[in-house]
Amino acid sequence: MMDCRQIKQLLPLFVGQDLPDSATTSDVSKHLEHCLECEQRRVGLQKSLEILQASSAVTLSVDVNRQSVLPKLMTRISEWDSAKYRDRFNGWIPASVMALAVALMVAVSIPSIQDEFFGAQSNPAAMDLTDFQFSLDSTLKVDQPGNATQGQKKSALVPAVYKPAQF
Amino acid sequence: MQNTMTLPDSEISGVDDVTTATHESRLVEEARRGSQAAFGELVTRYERRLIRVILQFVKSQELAEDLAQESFLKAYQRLAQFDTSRRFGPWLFRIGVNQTLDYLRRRKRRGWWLLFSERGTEKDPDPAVADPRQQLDLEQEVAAVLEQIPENYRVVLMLRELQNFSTSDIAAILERKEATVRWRLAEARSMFHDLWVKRRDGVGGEDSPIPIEEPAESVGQKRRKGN
Repeated sequence: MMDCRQIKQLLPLFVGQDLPDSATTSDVSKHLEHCLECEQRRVGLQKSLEILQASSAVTLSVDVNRQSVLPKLMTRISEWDSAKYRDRFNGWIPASVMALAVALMVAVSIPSIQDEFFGAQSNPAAMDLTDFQFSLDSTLKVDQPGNATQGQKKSALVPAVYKPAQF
Repeated sequence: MQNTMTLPDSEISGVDDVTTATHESRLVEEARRGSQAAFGELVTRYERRLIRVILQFVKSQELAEDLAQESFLKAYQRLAQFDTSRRFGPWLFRIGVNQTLDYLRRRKRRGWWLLFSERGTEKDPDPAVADPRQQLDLEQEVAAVLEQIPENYRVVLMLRELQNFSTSDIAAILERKEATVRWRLAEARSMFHDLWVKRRDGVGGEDSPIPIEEPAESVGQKRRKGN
């Protein structure tokens, strides 16, 4: 059995038929039958609720002659769709162009790089040392003591020419 | 009160709910795949209802239409994030309500928030009402009282009383538990009643919102949601 305090908490929902179950509704109804104070509160709540609902009578009516928002809305939706599409392309098209340009530059420069760094090595004729002429400076006497160092010093200044047969 | 969420507008009343839901799921799927025509059909289905909900907060038809358009655009842009196992309606209304509340907060920060005082100047009185001046007075009085209720509670109250959403729909729109929504609704109705009585009796009239503490469960849930 609920007391007046509990009933008064439920009355705002009771007047709008918003109580969650019929048993509670029935309990409140029974209480109101013999409690004048709670019944007065119910009447007051009911009246203010009716006033509130009556106040919306005018505002609830939407102008029947108004134009639909649909045409303007569809224009905006189309604009938004194209902007989204454009943004998507704005992102990856410049990136693709840049990537393509870099790839092109690399492709063009690869043969010249090959020529520059690997061209001589890749040519067997250029690497063939068999015909390379070596010769010794005739003024140097490498077999005499003390001339080895001197000879080395000299050889730093004068390019020595050796013949492969001497090795 | 009937649940109006599943039938977004009176134009489709009478159509079987299951058929409607299936058709709607198909439209959402097609829209997610980029079909503007499918999204256009969803807009047509929900347009009036969404404008009506927003109108309840901003009181200006033109502004409500602008905000509805923004909400639909945002929904389209976020379609990829939409959980297709859920209903489209609450998700759309959540975007709409959040969009509207954000707009109102921005306006309030700029210092010229005239949320409820605009209604008399921006809207013609309804000739169906016996005395239009009386109706506008009532609306302004009610609006002044609503303004004093904290936003979390006011939103629930407005969606329930003025838009006829069920508590489960409001829970889906606000991403809260239904129990939390019920609790807020009860608090909001009590607050509205007390403020209305004060205003009518000429006792109150203060403009500051009511400070209120959420129950421990709701606060915990709110923190978990990060909102």
